[in-house]
Amino acid sequence: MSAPRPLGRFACWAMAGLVAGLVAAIVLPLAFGARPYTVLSGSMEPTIGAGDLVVAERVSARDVRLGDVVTFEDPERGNRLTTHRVGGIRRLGAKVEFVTKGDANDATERWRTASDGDLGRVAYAMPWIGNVTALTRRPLGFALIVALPLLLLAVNELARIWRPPSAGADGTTHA
Amino acid sequence: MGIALAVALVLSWRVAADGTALPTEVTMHAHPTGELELRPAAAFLSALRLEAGGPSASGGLRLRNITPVPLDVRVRLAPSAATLDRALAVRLAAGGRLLAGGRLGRLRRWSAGSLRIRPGRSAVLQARAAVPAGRSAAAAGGQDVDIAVELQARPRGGG
Repeated sequence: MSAPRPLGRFACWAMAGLVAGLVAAIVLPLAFGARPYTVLSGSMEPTIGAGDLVVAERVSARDVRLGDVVTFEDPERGNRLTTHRVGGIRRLGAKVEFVTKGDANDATERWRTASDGDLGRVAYAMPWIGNVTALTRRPLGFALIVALPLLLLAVNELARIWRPPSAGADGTTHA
Repeated sequence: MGIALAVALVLSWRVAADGTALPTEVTMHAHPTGELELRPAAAFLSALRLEAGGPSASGGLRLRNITPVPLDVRVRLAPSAATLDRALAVRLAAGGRLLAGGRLGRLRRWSAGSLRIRPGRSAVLQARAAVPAGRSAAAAGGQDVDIAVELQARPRGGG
C-alpha cells in the first residue's frame, strides 16, 4: 500500500501552496499600499458577502470610475469604513463628490473627498476569508486557527524524532 | 499546483467595475399664475429611473388662459439643485414649436420663444427630459432634482 503516500504528500503540498498563495494575496499587496478589510454586512451582496475579505488598492480620487467598488469613510455614519459601488461622480474644483450605493441597498450615500486624495478601490474579494482573519483576532480563534495547528505540527515532529525506526512492508526503513 | 490554484481563485474573485451610473430622478411641476389655470396641479413629469443614454421621460402640462385677453407665455426652469445643470437635457415645446431646449443650467432664464394662448383656450406644454450619454453623464448618477417650471404670462403686446 505505497500508492496513497505520494498522493497524500502531493495533496499536502498542494494545500500548503494554496494556503501560502492565499496568504500572499493578502500580504503582498500591503507592500504596494493596498489594505485588506473584512466586510461586516451584506450590503454588497451578491458581489461581496458578509465575512468576505476585500483587498483595496490605493488610487487617486480622480482615477475612480463609475461602477468601481470603493472603501471610504462614510461621513453620514460617523466616518465608518464602508465598501460600496460608485454610481455617480461630480467634479467640483478641488473636490470630487461621489454617490455610492450597496448593490443590495436602496439608499445611496453622497460624500466628498479632495480630488488629489486617495481612496481604496476594491481589487478582489476573497469569500469567507474575512471570517477567518476576524477569528484570529479573538483569543479562542487564534488558538484554534494558529496555535493549535502549530502545536500539532510540533507534536508530530517530536513524535517523528523520538519514534524508533520501524521496518517497512518491503523490508526497508525510511530515515 | 496549490499556488496556481490560489492565483486562479484570486483572479476569479476580482471585483470589476460595471461602468454604469445610478439612475437619475427628475420631477417637474409648475408654479401657478393668476392668468393661467394649470392641469395637473401636481408634478406633470416624474422620472424615477432616468439612465444615461437611455430613453427620455416626458409629461404634459395643460395651460388654460382664464383672462379675457390673449396671453404670451414664456417659461424658465428653477431646479432644486444645480447638480444636473450640465447633465440633464430638457425640451419644452407646445404645438410642435420649441419654447426652450438644451442643458438644464441654460434654461434658468426666460425663454426667447413664447406660447400664445387665446382667452378661454388651452395649450399643452410638452416637457421631455433625458440624460445624454457622454462625459457629463457620470455627474447625473444618483442625483435627484425637482424642477419648477415658472411661467410668465403677459397680455399680447403688453409689457
